[in-house]
Amino acid sequence: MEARMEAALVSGMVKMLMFGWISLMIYCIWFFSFLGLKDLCKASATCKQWQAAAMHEDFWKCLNFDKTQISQQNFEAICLHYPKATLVNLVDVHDADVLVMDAMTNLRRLETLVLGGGQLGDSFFYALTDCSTLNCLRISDASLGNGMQEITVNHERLRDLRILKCRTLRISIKCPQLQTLSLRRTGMAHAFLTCPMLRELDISSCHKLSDAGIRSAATACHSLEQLDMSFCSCVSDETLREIAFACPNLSVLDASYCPNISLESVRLPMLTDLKLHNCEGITSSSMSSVAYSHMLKALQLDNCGLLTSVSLDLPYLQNISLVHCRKFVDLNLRSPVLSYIKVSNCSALHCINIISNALQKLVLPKQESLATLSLQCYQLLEVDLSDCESLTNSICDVFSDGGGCPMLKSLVLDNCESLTMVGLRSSSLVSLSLVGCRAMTVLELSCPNLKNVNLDGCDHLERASFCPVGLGSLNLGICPKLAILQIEAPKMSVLELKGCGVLSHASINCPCLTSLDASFCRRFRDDSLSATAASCPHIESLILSSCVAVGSDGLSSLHWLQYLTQLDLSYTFLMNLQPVFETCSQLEILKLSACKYLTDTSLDALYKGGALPALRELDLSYSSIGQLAISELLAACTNLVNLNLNGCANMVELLWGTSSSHSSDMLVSDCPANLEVMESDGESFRKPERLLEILNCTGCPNIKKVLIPPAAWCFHLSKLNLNLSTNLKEVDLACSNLSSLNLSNCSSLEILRLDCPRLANLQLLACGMLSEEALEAAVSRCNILETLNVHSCLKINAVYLVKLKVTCPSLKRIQSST
Amino acid sequence: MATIITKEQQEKEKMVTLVSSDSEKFVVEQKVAEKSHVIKMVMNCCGIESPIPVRRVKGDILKSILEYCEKHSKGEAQEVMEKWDKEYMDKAEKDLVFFHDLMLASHFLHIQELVDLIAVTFAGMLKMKSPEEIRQKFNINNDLTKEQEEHIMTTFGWAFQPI
Repeated sequence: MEARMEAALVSGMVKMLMFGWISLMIYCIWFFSFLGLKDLCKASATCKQWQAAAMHEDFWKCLNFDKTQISQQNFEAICLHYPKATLVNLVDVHDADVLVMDAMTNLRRLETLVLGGGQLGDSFFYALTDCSTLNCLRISDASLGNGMQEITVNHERLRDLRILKCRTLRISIKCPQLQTLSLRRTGMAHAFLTCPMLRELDISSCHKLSDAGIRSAATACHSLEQLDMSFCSCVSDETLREIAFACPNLSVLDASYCPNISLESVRLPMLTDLKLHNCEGITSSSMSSVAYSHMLKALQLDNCGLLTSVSLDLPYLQNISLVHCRKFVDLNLRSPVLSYIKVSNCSALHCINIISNALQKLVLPKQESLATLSLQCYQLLEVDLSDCESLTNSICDVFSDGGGCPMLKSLVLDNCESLTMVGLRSSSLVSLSLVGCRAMTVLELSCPNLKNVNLDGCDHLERASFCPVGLGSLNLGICPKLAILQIEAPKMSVLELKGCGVLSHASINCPCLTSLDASFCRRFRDDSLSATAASCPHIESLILSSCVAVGSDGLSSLHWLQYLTQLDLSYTFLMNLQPVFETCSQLEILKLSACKYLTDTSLDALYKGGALPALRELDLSYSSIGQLAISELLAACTNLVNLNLNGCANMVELLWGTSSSHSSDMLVSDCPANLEVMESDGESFRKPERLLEILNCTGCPNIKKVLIPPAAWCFHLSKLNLNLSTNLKEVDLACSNLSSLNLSNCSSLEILRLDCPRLANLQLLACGMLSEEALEAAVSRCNILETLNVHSCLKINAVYLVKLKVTCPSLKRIQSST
Repeated sequence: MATIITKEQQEKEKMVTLVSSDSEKFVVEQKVAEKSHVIKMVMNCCGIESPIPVRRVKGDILKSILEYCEKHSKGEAQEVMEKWDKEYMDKAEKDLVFFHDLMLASHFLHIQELVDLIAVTFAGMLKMKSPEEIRQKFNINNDLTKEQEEHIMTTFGWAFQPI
């Protein structure tokens, strides 16, 4: 293998030499263009061809030696070799002051020079004048000049000059072509500028420059368009006035952190961009000067601590920023193109008045003093006024139709805790959030397009009207004090009123409603229920648990609900269910849990009259219903799939198919399990199959015996729960499909007979009376039993369980005390 | 509607046969072959009915190149392509003969993307290496004269010093 690779390599090398591809000049130049100068130099020392390629002058146009140490000899050789180089960068290079002289002497096309660090003596600045092709010079972090004297940059063609963070006493710049000059953070005390073409001047953070120095420097540049004098703390209004006078084209001004300026009598008619961050001298009277700048597009007044009011009418203003203006009270803006407003942390702001045709979004969070808001914004789509605690009810008029925001789609008024009555009539509003408006007691919405409303934490709401709204669902269960409700929502399908305990008047007109949950609405009366049923005919699920005020009249009105399949009447005092049996023929699920006043006769219609033929699920838990009714129900209602009889204290036994049963067909025994129609004594008859799958009888204290023989026809029963039935003594089951049986805490259980071939899970936790023999007999026919819980079964010891595992090989998990 | 589908199917079925110098045949979709500017021009003037001979490229190289073209005609996300390209080049880089043939072929077939990719990879092979290491890797004879070496040291000497 290796030999083959070796051979391939050798033949490859031969081929390369044959083709000489790698030394083809055109390829080399192409490849080398992806290399840095240092790698290029190394490649050049490989062979003649590569040297010739690397020496190509195209590679040496930009001599970028940033942080590279190069000897004077090498540098001079390069300069001599590549006289056409146009850029030299000697930032942080040793002896840069010497090397740069070589560059300026030898490179006759030098355009850009970048220097940084170290010291640049007078001789450099003298020589600079003769470097006639230069048009861009950048010096940073350097000491300029040889001592006390001034340095002079005297150049005919220079257009871009940046002297940043340098140390010198005076600078004199005589550059007739100069357009951009930056002296940012350079510590000179005087700057003399003779630059008639200068457009852009940056003297930011030149702390040693005096007011007079700034004035003389800037006023000498009559073409100035952009001036950055931020952090020049000594600038005065007088200076600004003179600059404004001398530089009529000034359009961008940054005077941030200039505490002495108030803009008094300053006139800057061409100004488009004004930055005045942290200017203590700026007050409301300064705004008259700002108003004079008709062209202004952007205005920044962040942290102007003494500013109290801004009132501006500027035709081009697009952008305004007012952050942390702690005394700011009143904002009054009028601009057709205003599109962005940033106002935040102005704790005293009380009144806002905005007129704009372009503003789409207004976000004013946490303006805790804001009380008055007036908007004429025809494009406004989104408003967020979260945590504006002082806003009063009148704010609603601003956002209602005719209030000045005809396009408004989204409104957020979260935690506006002074709002007590919110009434909105808007045809455009789609989304409304009133989270945490704790003082609100009345809500009246007339917003036909409203799709989302968030009322979390509105827990003092007493009256609510949604007429009309476009909501698809609504949850008012979070408003426990709601007493009067009116809803007209043509698209609503789900309504939750769960827990509105004092709701006494409800007018619900939602023709598409399918689900209504009014549980715990203790004052929800028959009249409200009747009206609701009449106007919402599509209700499928109706939950009236704990609606103790609902009576027969209300239940009779359910005849309107042709599609009703689920009805929950748990925790009510109903005695007579006849209206339900008569009107709700489609019902599939009926919950009557804890209906204490139900009697055996209440359910007569179910098992005697064949009422509710579609019923699949019935919950009679904790009811007072008697043994007889339960027996009859089990015998007659063969269509039930799910039956809950938890906590039925009157149930003493669960016996199917014995002679005690009232149903004659239950007596038929020895029937083949899988046949519906069968022959018996030459007589043919139909036998209904029992559909029951799940039976829960948890905590029935008086049940003693459970017997389900094959004759009971329980072919579908898969889960049986008898947990906590403490008097249960005997269980005898023959259920071909039973997979899970829970007999935990049946502390009296002694006899357990199981003929359940599909049983997989058997729970016998704390069955203290169950013997080992009884258990063995019980599980002997459960061939696929996987889980067995005999924890706390006192009569069953660990040694026996080991044996059991052998005799019952399908067991995977045994839970026991040891 | 029906006509559009058949048209699309036709487009899809437009296959072209390429024949390498050692007579190996490759059947690929037209849009894959079009990645090569040269083959595209041939297809434009001569059609795609008869096989197109690619005389100067051997079968194994053509196979690899068509693999590249196929991947690059799918229009996948940039990160996916960059990762794939890197793996493709890592494989090619290991065998210098193959690398060399691949470069010549991509140049000959005028597949600009692949030519660029190979050049960048090659430049990467040169980075951070001394002249002696480079000579060893590519089996280059040092044919520089003493004068030339001296000249290199006077101009580029700085580059050989440790940082």
